[in-house]
Amino acid sequence: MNEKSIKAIVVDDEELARRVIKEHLAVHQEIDLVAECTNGFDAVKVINELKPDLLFLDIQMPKLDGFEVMELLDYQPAVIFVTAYDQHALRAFEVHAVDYLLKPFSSDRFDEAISRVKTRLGGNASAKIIQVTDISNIAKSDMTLERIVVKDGTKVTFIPLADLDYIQAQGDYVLLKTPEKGYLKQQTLTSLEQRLDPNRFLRIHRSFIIQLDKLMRLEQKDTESWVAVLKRDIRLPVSKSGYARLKEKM
Amino acid sequence: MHPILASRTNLIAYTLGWMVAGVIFALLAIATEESLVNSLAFGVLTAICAAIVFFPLYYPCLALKPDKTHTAILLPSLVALAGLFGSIWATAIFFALDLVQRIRNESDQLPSFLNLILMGFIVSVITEAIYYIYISRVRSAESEKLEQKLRVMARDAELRALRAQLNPHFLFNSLNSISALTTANPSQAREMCILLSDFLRKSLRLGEQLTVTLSEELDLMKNYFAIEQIRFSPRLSVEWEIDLETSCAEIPTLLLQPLGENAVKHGISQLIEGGVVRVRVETLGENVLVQIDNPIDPETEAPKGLGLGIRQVNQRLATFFGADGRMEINSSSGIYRVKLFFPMMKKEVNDE
Repeated sequence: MNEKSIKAIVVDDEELARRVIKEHLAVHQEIDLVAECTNGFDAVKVINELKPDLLFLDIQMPKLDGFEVMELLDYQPAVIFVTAYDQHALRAFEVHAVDYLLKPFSSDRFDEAISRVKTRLGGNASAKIIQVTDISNIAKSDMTLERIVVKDGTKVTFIPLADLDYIQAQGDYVLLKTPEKGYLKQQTLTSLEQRLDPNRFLRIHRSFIIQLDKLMRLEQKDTESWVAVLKRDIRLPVSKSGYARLKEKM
Repeated sequence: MHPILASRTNLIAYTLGWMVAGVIFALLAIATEESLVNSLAFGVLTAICAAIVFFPLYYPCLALKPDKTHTAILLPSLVALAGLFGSIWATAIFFALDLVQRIRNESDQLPSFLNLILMGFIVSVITEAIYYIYISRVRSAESEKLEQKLRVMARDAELRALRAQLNPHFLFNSLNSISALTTANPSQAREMCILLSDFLRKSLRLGEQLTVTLSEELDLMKNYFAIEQIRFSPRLSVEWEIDLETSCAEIPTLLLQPLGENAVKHGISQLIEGGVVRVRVETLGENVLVQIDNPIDPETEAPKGLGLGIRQVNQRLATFFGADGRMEINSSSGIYRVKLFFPMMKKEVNDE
């Protein structure tokens, strides 16, 4: 390891908040601050490009919040969340954040976070190598989703939940189907299901979740199988357990 | 449902009432030198007929509200009703007596039909009066309940507003800004400390009162924005346009503060470049208009519906000003606009 061995990026929309971190970093020669970002969009672009080892990540920011930024990264850097309030602390650890700094913090507390990062990065380096393909898998919902962010190349798209007809499992991906088009996102259907409001979305089949508002009727195919007919005559299979869940809702 | 059938107490009272009336009728009959048996029969028959005939009289009494019907309509209607129901009652008694006599094979003289009608008219008027007393008692009990509910709601909103006041995000972010400024710009750090202290002191003081003047509330908001301007530096600017005529208008404490916080939280802080919050206060005849505009990010504008804060403002407006207070919200071409309308009520200011 040479002297400057940890590449870091600070993401916070408040200039003063970034300044505090930079000041605290000044004594840590081994950390090389390669960029600063002021919003989620920039952060995703810059991080995926520069591939830093460490992120100082604010949670509430314009465009994308800190968690959404993490979902859109191509790899998993070490993350220190820096936020004013501890309502997200639980979720931060669920997405394997290294630490969670509450603003304002002391330099001792900051140094402690840095040494945790070094342990994580230095040690057996496993944390750095592990590709967390499915962050939300562990993100047990402390709040249900209002929108889903997907990345298509460098373009980030927001899909409001209200637009979704259904979600289909496709291997390691889910297909998010709106009336206009379908979006692929790297996530499992089960992990997504956990973050959706169960009163609005229902798993009707191993491979399908539908938005209940879009359901027009159920048709019986034979004794053991049914077909859910959504608006615009979208027909999806309903499994036996899916049928039981539907019955319960209706 | 008819209240007499709706509660057992009412049914018993109604039955007892007509039994007493029956006794009175019987006594009246004895006074006119009828035989005891005939008088008793008369009493029983009149009471039974009355209990049946006057039962539906409740509905027109309920419909003709004394406070909402013009006296020129109300009085003749009541007289006509009394005449109608009295006549029906008299007719019923007349035939009942006739029937009884035929069964008993007697031919005593029946009481004069005219007298019966007169009696029926008097009994009708008394019944109407009793129904009206009953209705007004029920109504006043209901309105008291409603008033109590409104009071509870008002206090509730008050408490919630105060709790929201100690918005932890705001406090900790402000403290973090101070922490950043201590090394880079100590004098600004001190300024921020003073602004924050002023803000907290003002909120605590206002929190003790139920109502404040519009200018006190706007002062607090200015203080709030001054703090957020340091935090967001060039991203937040605020423009004020305030008609001084409105400064002593009375409003519920901390009515506007949540709107200011919303403008920052859902507007400015979501925008990379930030923007301008515009606060405008003007008089519209007898009313005051408060309008707060803030830019929003059209791209990430989530369909969240009305936030809790906004709903509370609306509720408090309605609780305090009744139908005269209202709120309008619209959001178009990247500007979110909240308008509050309420009547101008001058608050007595004691300068002690």
